[in-house]
Amino acid sequence: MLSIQNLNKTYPNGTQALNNVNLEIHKGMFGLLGPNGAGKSTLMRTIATLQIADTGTIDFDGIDVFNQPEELRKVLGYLPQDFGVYPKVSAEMMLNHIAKIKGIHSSNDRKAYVADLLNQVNLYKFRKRNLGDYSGGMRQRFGIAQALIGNPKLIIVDEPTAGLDPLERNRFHNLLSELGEEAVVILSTHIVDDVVNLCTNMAVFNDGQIVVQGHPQELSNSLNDKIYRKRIEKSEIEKYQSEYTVLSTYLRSGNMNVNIFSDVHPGDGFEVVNNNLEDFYFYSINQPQTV
Amino acid sequence: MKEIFLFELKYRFRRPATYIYIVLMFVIPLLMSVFESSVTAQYTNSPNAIVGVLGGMSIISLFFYAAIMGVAVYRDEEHKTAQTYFTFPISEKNYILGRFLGSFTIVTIMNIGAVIGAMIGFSIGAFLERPDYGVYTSFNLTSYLLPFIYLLTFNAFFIGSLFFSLMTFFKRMSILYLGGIVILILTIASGQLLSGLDTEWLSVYVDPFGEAAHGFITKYWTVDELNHNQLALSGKFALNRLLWLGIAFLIFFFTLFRFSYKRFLTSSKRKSTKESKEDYVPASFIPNITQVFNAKARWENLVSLSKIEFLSIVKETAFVILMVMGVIMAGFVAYLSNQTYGTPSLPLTRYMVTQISGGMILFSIIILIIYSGEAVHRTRQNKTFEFYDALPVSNITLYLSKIISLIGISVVLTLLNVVVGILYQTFNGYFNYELGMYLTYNFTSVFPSYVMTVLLAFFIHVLVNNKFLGHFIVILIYVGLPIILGLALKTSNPLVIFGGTPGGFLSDLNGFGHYLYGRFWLNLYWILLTCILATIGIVFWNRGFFSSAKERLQIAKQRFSGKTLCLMLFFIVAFVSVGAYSYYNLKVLNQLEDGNYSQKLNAEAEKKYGKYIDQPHIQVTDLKAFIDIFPEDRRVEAKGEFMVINNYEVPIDTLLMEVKFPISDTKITKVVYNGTELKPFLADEEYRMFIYKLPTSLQPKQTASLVIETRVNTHGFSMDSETAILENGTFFNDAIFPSFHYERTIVDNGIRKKYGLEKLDYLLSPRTDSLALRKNLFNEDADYLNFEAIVSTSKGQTAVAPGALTKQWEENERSYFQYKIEEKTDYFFSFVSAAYDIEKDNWTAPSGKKVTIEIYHSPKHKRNLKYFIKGVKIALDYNSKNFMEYPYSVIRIIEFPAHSTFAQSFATTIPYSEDFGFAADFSKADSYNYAFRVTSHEVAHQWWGHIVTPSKTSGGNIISETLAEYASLMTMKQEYGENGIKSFLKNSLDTYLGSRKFSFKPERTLMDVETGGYIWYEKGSMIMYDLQDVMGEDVVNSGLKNFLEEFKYNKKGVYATSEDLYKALYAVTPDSLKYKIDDGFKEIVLYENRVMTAKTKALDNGKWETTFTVNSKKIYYDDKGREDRVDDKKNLVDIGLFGEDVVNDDGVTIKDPLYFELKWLESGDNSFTVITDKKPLKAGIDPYNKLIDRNSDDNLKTVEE
Repeated sequence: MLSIQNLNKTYPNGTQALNNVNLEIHKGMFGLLGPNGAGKSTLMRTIATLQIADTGTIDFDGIDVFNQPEELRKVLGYLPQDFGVYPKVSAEMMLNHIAKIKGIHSSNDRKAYVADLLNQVNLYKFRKRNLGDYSGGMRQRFGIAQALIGNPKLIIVDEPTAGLDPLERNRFHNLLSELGEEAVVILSTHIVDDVVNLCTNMAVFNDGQIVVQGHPQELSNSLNDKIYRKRIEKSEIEKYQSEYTVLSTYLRSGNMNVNIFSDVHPGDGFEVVNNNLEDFYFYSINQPQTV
Repeated sequence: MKEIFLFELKYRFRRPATYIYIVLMFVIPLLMSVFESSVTAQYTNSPNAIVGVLGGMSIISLFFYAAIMGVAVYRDEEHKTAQTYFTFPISEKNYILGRFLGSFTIVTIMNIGAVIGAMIGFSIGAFLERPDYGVYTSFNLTSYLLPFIYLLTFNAFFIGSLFFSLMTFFKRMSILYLGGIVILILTIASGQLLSGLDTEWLSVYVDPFGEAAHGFITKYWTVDELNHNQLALSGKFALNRLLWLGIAFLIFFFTLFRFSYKRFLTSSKRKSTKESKEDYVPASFIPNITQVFNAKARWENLVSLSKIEFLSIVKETAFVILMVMGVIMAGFVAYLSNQTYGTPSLPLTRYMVTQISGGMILFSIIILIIYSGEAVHRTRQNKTFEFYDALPVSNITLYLSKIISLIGISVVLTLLNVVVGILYQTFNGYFNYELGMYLTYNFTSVFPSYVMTVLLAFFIHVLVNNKFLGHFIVILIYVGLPIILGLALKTSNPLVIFGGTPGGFLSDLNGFGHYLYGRFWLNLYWILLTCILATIGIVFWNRGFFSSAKERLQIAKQRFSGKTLCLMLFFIVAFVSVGAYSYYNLKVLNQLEDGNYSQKLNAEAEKKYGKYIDQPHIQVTDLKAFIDIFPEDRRVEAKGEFMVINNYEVPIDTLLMEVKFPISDTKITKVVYNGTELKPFLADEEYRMFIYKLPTSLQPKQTASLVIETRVNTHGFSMDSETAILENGTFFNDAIFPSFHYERTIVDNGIRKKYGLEKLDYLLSPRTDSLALRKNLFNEDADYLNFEAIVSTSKGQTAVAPGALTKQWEENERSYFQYKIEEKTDYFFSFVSAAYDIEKDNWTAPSGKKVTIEIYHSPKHKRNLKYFIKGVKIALDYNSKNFMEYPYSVIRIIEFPAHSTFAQSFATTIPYSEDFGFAADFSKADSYNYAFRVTSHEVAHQWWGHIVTPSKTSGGNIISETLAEYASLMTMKQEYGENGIKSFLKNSLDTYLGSRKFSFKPERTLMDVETGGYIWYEKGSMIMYDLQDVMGEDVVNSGLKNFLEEFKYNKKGVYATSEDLYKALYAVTPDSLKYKIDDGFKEIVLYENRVMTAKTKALDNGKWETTFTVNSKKIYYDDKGREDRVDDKKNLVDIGLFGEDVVNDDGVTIKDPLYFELKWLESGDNSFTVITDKKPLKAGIDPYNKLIDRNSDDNLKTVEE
């Protein structure tokens, strides 16, 4: 469905945000995992017609995105990472307006449809409140609602669960996975759990490049018996970092833990950790992290 | 604090904007001072001119001050650094003080830049060889330093404190805008107040920048004072400066002490927390939605988007406030400008439309520019674009919706003009709304300029993609470009000045006239240009994250195809066609030259034809004029049958003809001299000078017949208003026939020097020049002549020429009128044609002769006819009784359209502007009835001008103007009493004193005056009033009667001079008062009279004994306004004691004199002790301001007990 080929983009300041990106994405949920500053948002915006690449093509279901942006927009649902609202307009009014733009012209249908949508994102009660007075989480939910209008065939959500409480996050996940049955859904995130929970396919994205691509389970399985964990003292971190390929160091119940990658069992009190996508993620971006 | 201060400076110096501001603050005054010019004896770089340039910067720099001072604190809010910043260990006062002083330092650097700019600008000006820009004086640092302190620094501190405070407490950009606009209103208002004699005192308090206050104190200064007096912190100027400095300090300390971190962080916004109780009830069906993207859907989207864009502007508080301000301003402007001589005019629709739109325009343009920027940046600023721009709406729809909404706003603002006008009329009890005129005017003159503004501003904002820079560039194009074009290129070409259209005027007689046509094409021209820009804007429209110029260009190339390309081509073709058509009309069919063209042409002409000055030329003894006026085509065909004579002692062999008619296409089509048709041997089509050789010389005293045919045509539309020939209201004079002599036209010595012409101190000949004594001042082409005219015009119009109507008929759908003057008169005739109603009355002369009075007026103007008739009757009466009986059987007043405001007296016939009394509201008792006044002045010209005509010598014009003014004053005295003319004299005094510094020649005495109406009208009326006051009206009139007898109808062979008038008056003046005649006619004399002390006490018999001291000083001035000497002799001056003011029968407030005497006063202090029955409240010297005194406020003083 969505085919991205040889996408390159360098900003005037020299940052190479996209470096020969190639991706094939089919119906269903696709997770794009990458650290901050990896270029995820650039990629998302480029797909969403908001930015052009220096070279390369994007094709969605026969639509050449760069040359027919208007066609793509008709089937697109896009939730940017960081967006604003008209502060003095109510959610209901704004959604109605967007629904109209998205081609829903029968006013009765539109009204019922928007009400349903508001209910789905749990904003029905607050539909008359001005967007400027929404809390961060409410605003995010509004963003989700606008992205879903018109049963889009391509849904791009950039860091969608930021600012949502666990309850809302679950609700949103359910909503997304439902949509994933009918559409291409690209979920850009740096939260590994979201990908684990939702996605059938994924890619790790770093430094403007696709590092690896595949099924989350398969990818994490690929590192079975190669990840080891150990509880250590804080003062020992440097020592371990120099001796092992440390993937992450993190605190658990106040104790320092270290996860390392090793082809063979390192002994020395390490125990095997299996089937963890997070470790795979850290491994693939090859950059030790403190969680 | 020091750290904050330094941080502020460092921050500022890292911002490129700071340098832009400083450079602009340097360049603007530099340019202004380079192009500063002076046509008077005031130095181009006089202290006063420097104050003008630097003071003017205060308003311009509002923008920069706001940008620097306003954001100093706001920055911490905007960048959300406040939360962290305020936790640092800095006290609130130090924080505020640091920020304030830091930004104030930057502003001061900008001001220093302005001062240096002015210094360099004036130095460049002085260095350049430009005699027409005036004379420069040597550099004087003080002249720059004082305005830098008292104006720039004070103003920067006030504006700075205000903006700083507003932003600190309100944290809203819109409040800052509003603050700036309020300041602007105050400035404009103070300027308006300054121009009214009754309101000028108020301007001192209202003016935040001190410019109006400076104008107020320098109002009566002479050129010499302007050249030498430095700006001083004294008097009313000090009052103004200290008042506003005080306000500035108040605001500053308020901010300093009230500021608290806590309050700054708390958002003042009230949150709407609407929450509906109802639960979600799913619709009976979950709609299976369908998406439609067809043309209809696109159209609906466009409509709905435009509506949303429109509403989002209309709902803004700032928009509403700006609109309300515009309305207030419009009302204010209408109130102040809808008057003449302090008397209100009726709120006619034609006044309303121009005055209301004049008041509204500034705010409308501000609104349109601001909201064009908002429309471009709204989604960007609130970051909605991040999802909005990915919605399936085409660029064109998005773009058009914004433009449509802005045009919607333009319509709203245009209609607001109509509504405000109608409301203003209603509040003034005037209900004759002319809706058609409202709509036509506003949609042909106002609306197009709004549309151009919107499209231009929108395009700039799209292209620049930075709100403040965008605003600035728009303002630069809007304000800066015309100034630069005007100053540097001296062009008035509407094809290059943004939004330029040919002028025009509204009239009750002529309606919109022919002006809508040219205006339509030029408006179309500019709208099409802005449409091209707007189309370019489409391809550069920023959607999503395209930011670099390269990317935008790439996108633009991609978008520049198909429909957009077609649209652009269409606009370009249309623009070029309309431009070409307009050019053809303005420049090919008509004349359009830059400002220096006529100067140069006139200079060349003087070099070529100067040799003909004072050469013998033919003079007319009889004229029969055939004038055919074609109002619909705006053309005239004329034939003059002249009988001419050689009045000189030498034969005349050359015939010189200069065409002086104001419409450029005026041709001499035929010249027949004694039956022989002549062709010119020199034809200068450009200057319109034609020189012929006579077939045989015209010998002295010999006469000849001369027939001249001329034709005037107008073509298409022109920049020239061509007011001489109109569809309904044609008015021109004898210039329809060529002049037979050459006269120089350049009188300014600077310009003369520029073109290498000799310097001229006096424009006219001295009174000793025997040749000049034989020249009629108004037209030397004839002495008194016989005149007859047949004037024809379209059926339905009445054509009028001087003289009695002898015959009237219709022929070929045209009306013919034949006039003949009963007595010989000077060569000075008018021709008028319009559709008139005629009001008739008559006056019987003391001898029993009946004179018909006719007022030719617009059917709309019935209201004030009685005052004109009264003016005519009383003036005929007064002049006939005192000087000589009116010689004709008819006298007419003829209305002409409102292109100018004057009345002019031709023999028997007085063309009179419809704006000069026909639409005035004289219903208030104390209003000054200028319809009566001007009428009696013009009627008096029948004697003073036409019966006695001045010679072409220095001072001659006082015989015409000062005496007409005197006669008119006397009729006013007769009609309204002594008190009725007080306000008139007050205005005369004010105008005389205020005009002296504007005289482009040294100030002349009454006897020598050549230019400057303020001398022959205002000073003349003061002098003549005083003379008749001290020696009696009858005595003065007897002198004038003798004078008239001696010089009437040129029977003496020489025309009268000012000296003849002086002698005639001198002869009847008692010896003790002769000094008054000498002072008045031969000197420039100003009094300084004041009451020093006044005390009263009750006497036992119930009476009051008052002792008061008055100081009197009479000073002689030279022609540059320098004090020459103080008179040491005694002078006759009024003194008096007054009770409480009383209201007379007419409802006018007047003084109540308890004691009033003319006394001979010593120079210096004079004490008097007077006993009165009632208790006096005030003591006065010259309490009625009959003498010329620059400070009339101290002539009265409250009496102490």
